[in-house]
Amino acid sequence: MATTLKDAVARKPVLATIRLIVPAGAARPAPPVGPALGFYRLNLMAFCKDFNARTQKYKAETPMQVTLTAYKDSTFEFVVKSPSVSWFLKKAAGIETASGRPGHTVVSSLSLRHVYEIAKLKQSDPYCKHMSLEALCKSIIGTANSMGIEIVKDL
Amino acid sequence: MAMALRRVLKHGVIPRDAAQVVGIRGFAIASKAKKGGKGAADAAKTPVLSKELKSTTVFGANILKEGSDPKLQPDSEYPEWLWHLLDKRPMLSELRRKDAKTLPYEDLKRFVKLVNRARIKEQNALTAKN
Repeated sequence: MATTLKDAVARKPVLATIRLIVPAGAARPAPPVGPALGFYRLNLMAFCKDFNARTQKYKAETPMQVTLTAYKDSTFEFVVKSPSVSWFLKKAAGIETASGRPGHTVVSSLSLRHVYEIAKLKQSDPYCKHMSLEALCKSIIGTANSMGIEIVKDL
Repeated sequence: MAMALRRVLKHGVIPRDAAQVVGIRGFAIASKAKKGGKGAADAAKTPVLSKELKSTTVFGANILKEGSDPKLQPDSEYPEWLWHLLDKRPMLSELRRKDAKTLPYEDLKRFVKLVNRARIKEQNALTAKN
């Protein structure tokens, strides 16, 4: 879709793009949210209220990824994404932390079916909608390898 | 031998030849494990879920309050390409041996990528400041 001159003029100048990981329904004006937003003079309480309202349906303490765009007129917009692939892999494998020496130490193993199910979940993300399931699966396998989680055809 | 034993009793020093006969070994004193050291880290990394549970359910996949974690389906429910993701891909040397005209599209793409990568590495090696 071509951007018209009218749209370009109307577009607000961006001050910063902030990426945060906030637990679902538990945004408070305390670290890490407070300092990150306070630095750009953004309304903390408005963000917390809006974020908590949007993430009501999710389980408590699920680490949601937030991409917040701050504008120069102290307004902001944000997109809530699902937790990171590494979080899903850790949960599925039943481990607390990944391997300290990936490639040497195997912490756990998962099957390709687990990978496919995680890929289906990640495809609902706004930034992954254009990606095919195959590409997502390849990406997840790469993440698992870097965490010391072995991917096998069958458990 | 008797002289060596007498010296041991007198000075408390065991000479090397006597130590070989008696078979005494001086072991290094084991250092006490630090609290929350490497052992604790390894203990934390042991998987909590059993293999039986893992092979039926994808734990943590359901992040919504309602609903449950998705169950794993039989192999027939999954697409065919999924089972080829772990296949070994041919190396550049193998691809060079084959005829480029007979290569499938995927391998041809890989061949072009690897050739370009090798060429870039070569150029970088030539232009690198030693």
